[in-house]
Amino acid sequence: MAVAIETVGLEKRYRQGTRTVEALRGIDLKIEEGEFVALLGSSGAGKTTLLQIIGLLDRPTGGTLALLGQDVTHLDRASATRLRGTTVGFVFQEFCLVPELTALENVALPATLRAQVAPADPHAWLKRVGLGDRLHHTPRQLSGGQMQRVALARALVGSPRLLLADEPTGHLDSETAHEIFELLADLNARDGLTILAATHDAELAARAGRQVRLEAGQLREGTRP
Amino acid sequence: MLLRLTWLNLRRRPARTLLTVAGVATAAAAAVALFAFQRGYQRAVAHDVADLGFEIMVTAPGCPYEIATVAMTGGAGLKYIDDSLLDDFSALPEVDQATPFLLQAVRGPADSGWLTLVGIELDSYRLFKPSLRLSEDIPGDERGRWPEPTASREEVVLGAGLAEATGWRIGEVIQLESLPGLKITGILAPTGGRDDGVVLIDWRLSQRIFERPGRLTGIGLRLRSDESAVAAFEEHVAAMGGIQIVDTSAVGERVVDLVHSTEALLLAIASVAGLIAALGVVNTIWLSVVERIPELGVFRSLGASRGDLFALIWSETIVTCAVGGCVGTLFVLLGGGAIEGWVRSQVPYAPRETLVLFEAEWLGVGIAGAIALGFVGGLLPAWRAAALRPLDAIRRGE
Repeated sequence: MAVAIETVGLEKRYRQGTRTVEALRGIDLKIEEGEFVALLGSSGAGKTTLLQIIGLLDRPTGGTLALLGQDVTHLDRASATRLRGTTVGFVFQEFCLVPELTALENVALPATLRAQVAPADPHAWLKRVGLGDRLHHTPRQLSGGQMQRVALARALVGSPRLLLADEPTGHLDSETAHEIFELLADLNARDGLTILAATHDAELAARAGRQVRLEAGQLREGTRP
Repeated sequence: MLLRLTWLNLRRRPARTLLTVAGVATAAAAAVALFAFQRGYQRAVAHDVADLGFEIMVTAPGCPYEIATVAMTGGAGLKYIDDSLLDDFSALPEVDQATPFLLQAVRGPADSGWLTLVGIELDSYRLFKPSLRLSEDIPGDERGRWPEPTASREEVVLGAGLAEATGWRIGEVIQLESLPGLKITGILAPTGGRDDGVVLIDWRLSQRIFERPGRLTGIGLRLRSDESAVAAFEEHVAAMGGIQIVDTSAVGERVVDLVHSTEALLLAIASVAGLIAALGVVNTIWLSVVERIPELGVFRSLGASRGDLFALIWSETIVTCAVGGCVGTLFVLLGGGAIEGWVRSQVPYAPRETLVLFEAEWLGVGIAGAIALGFVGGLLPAWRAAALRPLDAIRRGE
């Protein structure tokens, strides 16, 4: 099976006042296409930093990163933006929906913002995440779980091959959080979507196909259920 | 959809957006009103000068602008020339036409203010104003006639506007101050100029009833069109004393020049309004960008390029300014009457024609100027949004 994400000796250091913070220390991670990997770790372990580097939102200070077989370590900004738009979908802890737009319009947003992208079918994606009857509701009229589903549909509407989820259940109650992870698992199983989801909840992480754990910027390979 | 997104973003802070739109509207209104006034005033002055019919006026020495103003708007002259000069000027070979005029003012009926009686020699006066004719369209009135050209018959013709304002009819004998009764023999067709508001009377009759024997306010002249006529005229005039030559077109130009000095002030005000509006726009959109930094970061994570965000913010600015430009222009169009009234109270000479002339091209310039303001004013906030690093932007929302 092809490798979706591969990092070798990935490092990230940054200055914080007078001291240097080592957020990532030599991360070696290989995720194959179609895998669902849970990234476990406590707050400050480096989960978000790793996801943002993999999602081409940030650059490593050391090591290499390859996505779908392409070395993207030193991509310029424009190329990174293009690749991110066509390959990577993001879901954040904050839903970050535009409050004035309906669910349908929020999901259509990536195509709206990127005129070069072929219009996807936001309607179908909202149905896929179970919101076929909430198309014209604004975020204020939706529950937290429904808003995250809209955010998920928005991340998937461009048909990305990788989905990066940064604590997607952080603001949800336990039952809704399980529903979201069930949905991720379903997308992985039925659509073959490669997913890397950060969470600090071990019970949720157990739904993933594989778990890896970050501790103080270093990777501890976890288990395969 | 992008426009809808723009519109929704602007609606997030309606009061702030409205204030910004109001600022742009004010600047656009000032600019449009300024240009409308400039065009309208020039046209109105040119019309008044043309309505006078004279290229040159011979008058008693004095301020040429005051004399020209009295001649264009009505009123009485304080100084006179001798009417024998009419024969002298008529005899000059370079003079093509000459006509005398004697301006006198009397109290009108009730509170109608002052009436100007323009003493003319009908035949020569009509050569200067070939379009002057009697109205054929006055309900209930018999067809009028021109007064007899003699000092012995007290007959007059009324301007159309004066007839309408006073209700005087053909055949009526009007009594003005201590003057003998004056019979109205006709009413002029509307001219759109000075003649609408005056009483035309034979100049000799005017000399008699106002007890100004041998006196004239001035003589209107038209020179022959050959190039040597002006030089010959200047040579002849130089030899004459006790008169003043007024070039009416030059007076018109001077009046417009005087207004141009006011225009510079208005232009400065419009520029300041534009600058304030531009700063207001930059401030509003900048704040909007700062408030939405996390959202813009998410947009970047969704694949929006720097150019996409630039376009989004820029379009918000342009829409704000375009709406402001349209509102300001509409405001000026609807408030044209009030602007006209204010301008009339400010300018040194207010012609009869409308002073504020709205032309499609200048209305377009008002809106286009506002949009241009948006193009320029939007650059900084749009650049700010485009320069956001997605990571930092998203972190701001944490």
